[in-house]
Parts: sequence; C-alpha cells; structure tokens
Amino acid sequence: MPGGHQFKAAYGKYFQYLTTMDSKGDEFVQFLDYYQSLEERAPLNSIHHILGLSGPLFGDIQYEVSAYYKDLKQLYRATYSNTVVAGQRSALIEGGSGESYGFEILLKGEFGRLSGWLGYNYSKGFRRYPSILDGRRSLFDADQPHNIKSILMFKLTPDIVASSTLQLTSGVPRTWETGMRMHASYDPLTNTMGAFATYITPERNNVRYPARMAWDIGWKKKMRSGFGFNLAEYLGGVDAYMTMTVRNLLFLHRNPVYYFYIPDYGYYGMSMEWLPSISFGYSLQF
Amino acid sequence: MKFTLSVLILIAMFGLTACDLPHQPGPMPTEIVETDFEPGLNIMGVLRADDQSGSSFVNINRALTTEEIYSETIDDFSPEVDHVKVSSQGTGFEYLFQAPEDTSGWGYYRDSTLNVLPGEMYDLEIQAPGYPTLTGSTQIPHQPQLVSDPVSVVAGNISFQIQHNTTAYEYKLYLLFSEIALEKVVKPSTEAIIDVDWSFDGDLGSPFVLMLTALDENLTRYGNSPISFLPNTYHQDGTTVEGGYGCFGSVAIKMYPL
Repeated sequence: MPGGHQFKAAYGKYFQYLTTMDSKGDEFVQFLDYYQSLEERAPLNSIHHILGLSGPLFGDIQYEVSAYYKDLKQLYRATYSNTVVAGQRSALIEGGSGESYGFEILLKGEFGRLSGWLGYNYSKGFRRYPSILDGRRSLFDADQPHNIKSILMFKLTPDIVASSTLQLTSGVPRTWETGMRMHASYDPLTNTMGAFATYITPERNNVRYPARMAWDIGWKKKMRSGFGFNLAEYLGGVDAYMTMTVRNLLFLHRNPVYYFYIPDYGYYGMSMEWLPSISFGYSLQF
Repeated sequence: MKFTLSVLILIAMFGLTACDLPHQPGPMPTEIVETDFEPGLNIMGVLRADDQSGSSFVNINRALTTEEIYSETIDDFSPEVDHVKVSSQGTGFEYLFQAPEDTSGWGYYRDSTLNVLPGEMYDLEIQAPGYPTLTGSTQIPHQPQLVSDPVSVVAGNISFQIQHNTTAYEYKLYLLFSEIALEKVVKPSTEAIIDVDWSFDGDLGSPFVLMLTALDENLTRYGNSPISFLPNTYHQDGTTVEGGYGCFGSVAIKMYPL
C-alpha cells in the first residue's frame, strides 16, 4: 500500500490433535493434575478470520491494528462437576463450543532515548457446554476485555538501560455464590439420607474480579570488569550484561484469586502475591 | 526525560491509590449478571417401592444465605408447610405427608398408608408460607429382577444377571452378611441384560441376602451431581424439582435370600 502501509487478511481452519486434557482448572490444590484421554474424540478445531493494518506513523514510531473473530467449533473441558447417567461416556470430559473476537492496537518504535511498545487490546470470549446453564452461552473463564501493556526501555547511558513492564487488565469473570443449601445423599440400604452444605450458583461467571495491575522494573548494564565480564571472557563470549529485575512493584494493590466469606467480617479477597521480588543475574552473549 | 519521569510518577500515584493492606478485605468484584439469592424450599423426597407402607419420605429444609449458614443459629431451617401432597398420576389418589407431632421430625414428612407401585408416575406438591410452590414428578422404576434365580455363591464370589428395565438409571446392589453389607453400583448401558461378577473377601463368610435397588433418573442425576467446596466456581446443583431446590426421586427394591 502507499506510504509503506500493509494490509493483511487471513482465513484459516485450525485443528489441534490433543491426546489428553488435565484437570487443573477443577482442582483446588493446584499441585494436583489428573489427565483424561481424548482418544476417539474429534480434534479441537476452529475457524479464524483476521484483518490487519500496519505501517509507519511518525518518526520512528510504527503502528499495527488487527481484528479477529474465531469460531471455536469443537472444544473440550475436564470437569468433576458433571453428572453421568446410564449410557453416557465418562463425565470427566465434556465437549462444547465457543467464540471469541477482539481487536488490538500496537505502537512500537523509538523516541529519543526511549524505546519499546505500547499495546491495547479488546477481546471477548464465550463458551457453551451442555452441562453449564443447560447449554446457554456464558463468559469464558479467561475473558479479560481490556488489556493495556507497555514495555519501555530508557537508555540512561550507552551501557545502562532501565526498563519498565506495566500491565493493566480487566479482572477475570468468576461465579459468585448466591447462598448455600444442603445437598442430600440417599442410601437405599438403610432408607436414610445424609447431607452436605454446598454453594448455590444459578449463573456462571456472573461477576468480574477487580482490574489486575502488575508493574515490573529492570536494569541492564553492560559489564566492563568484574565476575560477569571475566566469566564471559573465559567462556569465549562477546559481551556480558548484569540484569536486575524488581517484580510486583504494585504489591499493595491486591489481585484476588479467590474470595472467602469470613463470619462477622464479610468477603475477603485472597491474593497469591504478597511481596515484590528482586532477582539478579548475568546474561552472556556469544 | 521530564515526560518519562511524569509518566512514572503518574503510574506510581495510580498504583498507590489502589493499595490494600493485608487486613483489609480488598477490592470487591463488580456484577456482570444480576443474580440474587432466590429463597426456596430444599428437599429430598424418595418414593420407595419395597412392598411396605410408609417407607417413602420427604425431607424439607430451605436454602440459606451465605451469612445465615455461618451464623450461630439458623432460624426456621425446616419451615412450617401448608401441605406436602403426593399424588398418583395413574389412580389420582392423593396422599398428604405429615410431620410427627413432636419436634423430633428433623424435617421428615411421611404417609403411613402410601405403598407406591413400580412403573407408576407420581407428582409432588409442597406449599409453604413465604416460599414458591415446589413441584416435582417421578416414575417409580420397575422392580429389578434377576434373569436366573436362585443365585449360586462360591467362595468369595457371586455372579448373576440383572434384567435391565429402562425405568432404572442406576442400580445399587448390596450383599448382606451377618455383620456387614457390601455395596456395588452398576450403571446400565444399552444392553438388556447386565452381567455382574462380584468378588468379596471370603473371610466375611456367606452372604444371606442379595438386595437389588433400582434408582430413577432423578435420584441418579442428583446423586451423581458432586458437591463442590471450590469457592467462586460454577457447578450444577442437580436439582430435579421446580420452584425450589433438591430432588424428588424414587427407588424400587427387591430382596433375594441366598
């Protein structure tokens, strides 16, 4: 196209021949994983439609804009929360379908001593499974419509580069319980019943968790002496860099992964990342 | 440089405004779909075809809010009801289930005259002040039958065949010994005859009764619907009734002395 712009259009059918599916999404203890076979089942398949435009914007800044629509014809999920009755195969694997669409805007390039990229994408994802809401469409567990991500590098000196990685995303959708009830079990031998408290969930993914924020900063310095430099020289390397990364700078902003009800307190958002972490390392270039 | 510094300061300020200290509850989710707590009766009703009157029951309590279930006392957990009515679609007879007059009922309602018939359809209706009318229906499974009777038992093993009837969605089998009972669950396929080969510890001695129970679709679906302790996660509740929660199902029993 004139002015160095490029237009792209793509259409494709994709098949994924997975052999097993793990149960991680259904495990409370995330160290556990059970694998179910997908043998003799149709492969995962989807139809993708993609349009894209890219080119120079101004100076050394370039842009990319793309939009997509994916018709997810065949999906599977591993689940324990399914009922099996006579004549049905294992309830641990369930077939379904879905769709997703969205667009992305990306700016990348250099502006003085600053370089990197800044992107925004909007996306929506839906799923349908027979055992969920009688096959009605519901939001995909990883549906996060808004996502802003930037990776910026600032050249402080010819040998030192500071970097920042910032990600702001919508929270994931989750199912908020409306109450609890006793789920009974019947024993035909004794003609008695037992009961267990369980949640009432008339809708799926009916709330959206708070927006997630993550900010990491880094420091990269080209070595001219010292241990890293000597190591690179000894190993025949060309250059040695010392890297330092401070992760989870916004640790005081909570990104909850679960909410628990605490009597006389209310709901408490449980996060997994409590403190920032600092890491150092050498990067050798050969 | 000034521009970069300004951006970084703005981002830092933005981050600090969203601070949550560990003792604070943190940010709360926002609603996507309006989903309110629906008050309703929660029941377990079983019509039992075992040639005995009064063995069928309906246990009634109610759904609770999350706050209620963690409170020290739950008021009115088994609420007062206007009536618990079971009616036969075949004969039109109606049976009004009653709770014991004392407070020892624990939410159980029974009718001492009802002896349900295998293969018949029954309806349930429960009315309670302040709650939606709860309804349900079930078809009593046909009594499970062995293809050949009597059954021979050899040391530590019993083999037999069940004549499958499509009104049964699951079979629960019991071997009764003098001090213990063993259970086996059989999920029927499309075959008309179900082969059962059951091994057990020979030290238990010889079983004296083989008890076959056939569950209807409601009891099977509800019974196989697992409960979940995973918070903030959707799961089916397996409810088989309208206007409330729980299950109204049936079971047919057949005993074979060995």
